[in-house]
Amino acid sequence: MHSWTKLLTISILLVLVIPFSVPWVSATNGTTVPSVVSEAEGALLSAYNVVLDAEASGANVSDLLNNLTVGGEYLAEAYVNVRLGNSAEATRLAGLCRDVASDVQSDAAALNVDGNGSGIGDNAGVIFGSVVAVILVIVACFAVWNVFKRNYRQKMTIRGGSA
Amino acid sequence: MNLDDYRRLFIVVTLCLALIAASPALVMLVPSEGDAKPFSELGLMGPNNTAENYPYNVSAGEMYNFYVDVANQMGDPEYYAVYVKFGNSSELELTNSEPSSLSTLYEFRCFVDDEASWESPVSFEVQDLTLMNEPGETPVLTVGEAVINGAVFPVDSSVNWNAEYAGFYFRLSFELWRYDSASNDFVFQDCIVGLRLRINSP
Repeated sequence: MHSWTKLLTISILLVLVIPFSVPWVSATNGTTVPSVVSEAEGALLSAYNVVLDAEASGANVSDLLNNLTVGGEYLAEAYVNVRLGNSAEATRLAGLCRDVASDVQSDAAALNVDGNGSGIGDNAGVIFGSVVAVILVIVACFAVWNVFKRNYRQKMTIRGGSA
Repeated sequence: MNLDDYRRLFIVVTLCLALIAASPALVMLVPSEGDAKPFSELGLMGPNNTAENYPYNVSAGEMYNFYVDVANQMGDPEYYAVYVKFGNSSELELTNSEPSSLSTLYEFRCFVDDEASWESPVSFEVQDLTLMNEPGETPVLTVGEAVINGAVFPVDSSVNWNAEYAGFYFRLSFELWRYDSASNDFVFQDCIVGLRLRINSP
């Protein structure tokens, strides 16, 4: 009886522990995707988000997007190999994808630092320039008006005196 | 004209000049009426990268080449996935309303800048054809394998003889999905293109 209790306890523990010790991740089509492929997908998405941040700050990200596409091609091939049951090849391709994503993320982060605010700076410059131009126009027109008004009154005074 | 009339004239001229000076900032702030609704495009091009000579009469063991294109008019860079599926005409209707429930065989992933496009070559082949032609029964053709860009997929897709169009017809479809940051998942873009293939029996 004591041994049966032990066996039952161990079985329950194994049932609870095993799902968390094996790196399986659910995927589409009922195919089990190795965690390395899911991690590569996550890395690619992280890099993509950093690229979007760089783009929002005004940086030119065309080259980064092309590099991300290279990573995307590796990832797509990895998923294809998962479907075909070639886990070794899927793992290799996922590793390549992660390397590309890591490089892109670093480049995008550096671009983000260099170009931070440049896009916003361009917009602020245009607005500032327009405000200055409007102020100059108003001041200039006010000055011209004052000169015109003085000359007009002088003319009216001379005409009134000669009449 | 008296002084008051001149004053009004100066005010009008000042306002016009101020508006001209402020126009660069106004252009940035006021949305253009010409802005179209954002969209994505998915297309197939023939082997010469033109809209012709698409694969149609397909024989086993022969490779057929064409191109798949994605264009981004969403206003921002986008992350796309194109899922390739193969089946008979009842399994793949090639409508744009919803994606097929068939399993994805091959896929493409690309990151496309706004107002830019991406293209990839596609090679396609069918293998392992089986024809069942029992007397008094409608002939049935089964495609055992579909080869896409060198990857061999077991498909086991069957179709009856189409008497109206005299052939065995299958479809190769391409579905466009776009990554949505809000849902952290790919979203179907109501966009499917495909090839209607008349597969010659062995």
